[in-house]
Amino acid sequence: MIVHAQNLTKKFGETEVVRGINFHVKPGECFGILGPNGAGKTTTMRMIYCASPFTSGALTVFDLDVRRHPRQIKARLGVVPQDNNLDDDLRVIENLITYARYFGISGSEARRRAALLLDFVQLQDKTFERTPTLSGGMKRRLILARSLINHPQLLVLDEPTTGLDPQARRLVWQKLRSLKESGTTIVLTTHYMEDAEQVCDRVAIMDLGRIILTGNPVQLVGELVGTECHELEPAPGTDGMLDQRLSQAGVAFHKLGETYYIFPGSEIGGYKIDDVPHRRLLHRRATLEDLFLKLTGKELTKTDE
Amino acid sequence: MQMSAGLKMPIDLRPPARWVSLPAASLLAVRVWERNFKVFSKHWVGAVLAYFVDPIFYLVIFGIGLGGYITSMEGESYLEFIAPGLVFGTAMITVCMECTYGSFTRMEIQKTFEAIIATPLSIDDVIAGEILWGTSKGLLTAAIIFLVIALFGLFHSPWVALIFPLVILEGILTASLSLIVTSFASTYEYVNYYYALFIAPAFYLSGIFFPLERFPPWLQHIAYLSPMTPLVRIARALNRGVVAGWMLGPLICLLVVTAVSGFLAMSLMKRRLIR
Ligand SMILES: Nc1ncnc2c1ncn2[C@@H]1O[C@H](COP(=O)(O)OP(=O)(O)O)[C@@H](O)[C@H]1O
Ligand SMILES: [Mg+2]
Repeated sequence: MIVHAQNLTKKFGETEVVRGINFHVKPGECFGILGPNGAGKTTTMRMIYCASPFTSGALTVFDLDVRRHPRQIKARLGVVPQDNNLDDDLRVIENLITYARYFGISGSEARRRAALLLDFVQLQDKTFERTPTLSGGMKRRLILARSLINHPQLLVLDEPTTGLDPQARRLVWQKLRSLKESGTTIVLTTHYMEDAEQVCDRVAIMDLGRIILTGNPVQLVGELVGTECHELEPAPGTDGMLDQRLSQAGVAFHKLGETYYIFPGSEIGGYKIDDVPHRRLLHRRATLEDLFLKLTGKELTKTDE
Repeated sequence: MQMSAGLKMPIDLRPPARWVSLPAASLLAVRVWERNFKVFSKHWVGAVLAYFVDPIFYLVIFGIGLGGYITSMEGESYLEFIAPGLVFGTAMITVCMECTYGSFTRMEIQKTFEAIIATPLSIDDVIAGEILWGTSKGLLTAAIIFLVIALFGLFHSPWVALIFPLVILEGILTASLSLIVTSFASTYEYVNYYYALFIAPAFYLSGIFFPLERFPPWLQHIAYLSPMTPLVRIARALNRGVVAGWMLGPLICLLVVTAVSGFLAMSLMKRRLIR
């Protein structure tokens, strides 16, 4: 087992922000931790990379106790923290070379790896740039390159693509997929459900410090939500009638603001859904987002914050 | 406790490490020194220039200007009297700046420490590296002023070479004290209190500029709290060719204080950075 957490808790003072979670990460898989802001994802990641001591329970990485063997664990980890912490005093390639030195990699080997990794994340044009001048997407890619400098067996990525434009996001996910294919185990958190569905073998859905569900994302959605979702904004003044119809027909739905999210089936007690008077109606594939909504009645992502 | 079947986990019931645990810095601290050296080496010309300017002005203003009115201090020229002490004074200021403003910027503004502790290095390693680096910069400043003083022809005994190990001791102590302050700092303004309440008194009351015996007794007692006071006195004696047993007491005292400060710096930084 690459990561194994049992009854893991973390308190900050009196507040328990991780409340007895159990999960494991198998060799070679990509494991995603999903959940709204404040769920405890970052705290969990920081415990995995030995930056934050847990309060109770047990946590091993590479079958080593994080409290007893942080050096040995960290030597085999690659970390992308939630907040960028590149070394602004150093140029782009120097960031990689200096980081390599922390792992005891010799100067010439560090330079060789740094050049290869800049190619890998497509920053070769920026080799000698000053780090603060990079765009957000470039900084994120440079941190990804930095996390790979020690050829890690486990990558710990806390929101590797948050704040990136779609093109930069796609590039990062593509790189992660190719790393996975070459055998690297990955634990990540993300706000982007579509991406998580595509990249993760298994996901854990976290809310209020607890893991409420673990499994393969496509299977989970299929089993618990179905294949499709109808987003419907009813015509003004018809809410009451729609509520009644939906409950009578026993159709699963959630209401967020003006919008109804209606799961599966395209009929409501004999009526075609398209015949419901509406201002807006969208038929789409059901996603993890819908699953989360169904489980907690909350939106998973507050997009465009 | 839930246990999934077939999976064995080491269950550790010991309480988690607290900030009072013994520091466990390793040789990896040298990597932090390397990192700081690399950054410094980009701007070394300016830094070295600044380190030259200060001692030259000190010697010109205090020595030649003021010294013109003072014919003899304890049997030597005023310039000869102040020169050995200035080595410690300027080194202390350099170390203080590096391990307050410099370290605070790396820790709080640039999050460099946070990035480093995701690698095999521990916080103890990082702090040991910072102490090592601050001390090195102090040593560099001391070497420059030493050179200037030698060029002014103010050294009279080969024993003055012993100033260097003493500067290392002073550097480690000042770096540790400064990092203790940094571990409490929430803004740069904290450094002002440290400067006003410790560094400035330690500098001006150390007897660099005139013999402590001129002070009223109560001020002399305070002056002896400055780690620079014994160092200035010893350096002055070394320049007169004196190596004596009375030097040992204060030195042992400084060694102990230095060890305790280094220990505290690491512990307090862990308290600050481990959440
Ligand atoms: N250093 C800290 N001190 C106190 N509370 C914290 C600290 N770090 C995080 N928290 C709290 O813990 C909770 C979980 O935070 P976090 O793990 O960052 O969540 P997520 O990454 O899922 O958004 C939040 O309520 C946050 O305010
Ligand atoms: Mg987070």
